[in-house]
Amino acid sequence: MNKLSTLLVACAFLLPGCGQETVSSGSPEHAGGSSFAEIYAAAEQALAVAEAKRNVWSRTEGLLRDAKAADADGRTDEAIALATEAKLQAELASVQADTEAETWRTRVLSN
Amino acid sequence: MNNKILLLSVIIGLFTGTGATAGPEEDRTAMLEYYTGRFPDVPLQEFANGLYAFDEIAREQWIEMEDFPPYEIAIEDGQALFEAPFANGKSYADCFDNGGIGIRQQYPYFDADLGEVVTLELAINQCRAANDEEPLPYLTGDLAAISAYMSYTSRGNTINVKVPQDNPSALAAYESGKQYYYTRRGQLNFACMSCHVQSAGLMLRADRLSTTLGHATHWPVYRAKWGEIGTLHKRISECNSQVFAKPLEPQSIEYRNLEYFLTYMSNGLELNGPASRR
Amino acid sequence: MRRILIISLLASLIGVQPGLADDDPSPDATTRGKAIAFDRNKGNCLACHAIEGGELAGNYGPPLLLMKVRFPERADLRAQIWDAAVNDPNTRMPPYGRHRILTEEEIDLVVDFIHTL
Repeated sequence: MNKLSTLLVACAFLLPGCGQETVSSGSPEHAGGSSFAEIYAAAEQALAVAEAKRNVWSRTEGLLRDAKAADADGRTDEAIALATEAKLQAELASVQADTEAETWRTRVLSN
Repeated sequence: MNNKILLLSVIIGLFTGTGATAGPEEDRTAMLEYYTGRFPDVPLQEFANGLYAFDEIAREQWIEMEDFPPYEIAIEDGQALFEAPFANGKSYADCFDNGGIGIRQQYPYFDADLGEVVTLELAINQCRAANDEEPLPYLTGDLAAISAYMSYTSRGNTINVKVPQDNPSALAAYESGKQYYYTRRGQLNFACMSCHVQSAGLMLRADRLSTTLGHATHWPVYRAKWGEIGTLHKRISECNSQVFAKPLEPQSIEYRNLEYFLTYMSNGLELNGPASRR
Repeated sequence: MRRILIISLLASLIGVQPGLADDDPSPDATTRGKAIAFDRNKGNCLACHAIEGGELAGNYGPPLLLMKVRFPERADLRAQIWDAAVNDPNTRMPPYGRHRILTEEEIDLVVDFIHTL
């Protein structure tokens, strides 16, 4: 995730009006070029990876549900922001699982 | 897959002697020494009482609560459920050693045929399945009540969980539970040990953190916060939620392996369940 | 207690006067930051840290006092909240930024508030 897209996500989250320059509400295409459907699918994929590692964070699935509801409501910018956040969280959970697969041993109590 | 890798690494460790894999008994000794060093004035068996072992004010309130134990109804309900015959005329007593009385210290154990850890709660549903009865939910309710009764008949018995040395799968299950315990998880990035080793005795908001020594002695528990009796796996799910990790299924392989590790850590302590907690 | 005393002493020695710096955040920002810091579903800082004005605080972490002495640079305080593991791999402090527990804007507001303590 680069800085620009983080900014766009923050933009969509914080300033409902700020997306108007690039995309009109309800448009299937977002400024980044990915449609909601594409981002949602990518988030689901990232979640499946984290699930396979048995390490899903507790808010991620709710974000995806909210994203779907926002999209159904025509709040496309918000839907895209929520799905993007879900995807990022799922990816971070996977990173955590991979890192921990090594580092847990450093914490074991021993004599 | 993970289990296989784990098994392999354990075996490699055993043969080469280079792995840092200490055995269960070394782990238990290290944990025992850590806590007795941190809490030198707490008698060993007191650790079975969780935070009440070292929080005097909370202990007074707890002793008052124990005047009319809130888990007493669960013991009575559990006994009635335990003694009620199944549709086929048999009962729980037919499934367990000694008619199911005073046997909690045998759990969890590694079932070599199944290739998995069997907890008492799993064994209760195994018994039901063997008698063509539907499984009971694992977190609260009838199963927790039956478990409470079986714990009650086992009070005072000494925990003696075994990890058979001649069975690499048992050691792998133990190691997997140990790994779970020491692994950071959830959005808040905590391992079990972050709170219960590193911060044992400290306050998280208004709650004092307990030690892992004694975590497995007293289940199921009537928790005031829950307003009902619940199993160890309910508490583990709650721990997961508190660090913003999605809980696994109760009685999942991971939770059972964790219980195997946790209970082994309390070997030598006496069972004192069911219990009450704030 | 002794630690608090020492920090107070140090503060008086180097003449720190919290609240008088030129780059102070607006009162509005610190109020919003405090709300996020105290919210159990947001910063939940009180779970571990004693903070003036907060009730039922934990002692899992150190009390948040004289933060301008401990973190003269606002950026260092922000970095600590964003990911404390950079300075200490064994820290138990949740990585509020790295794990996206708070948004970047929320972290800025919390930093504004914590830096006034």
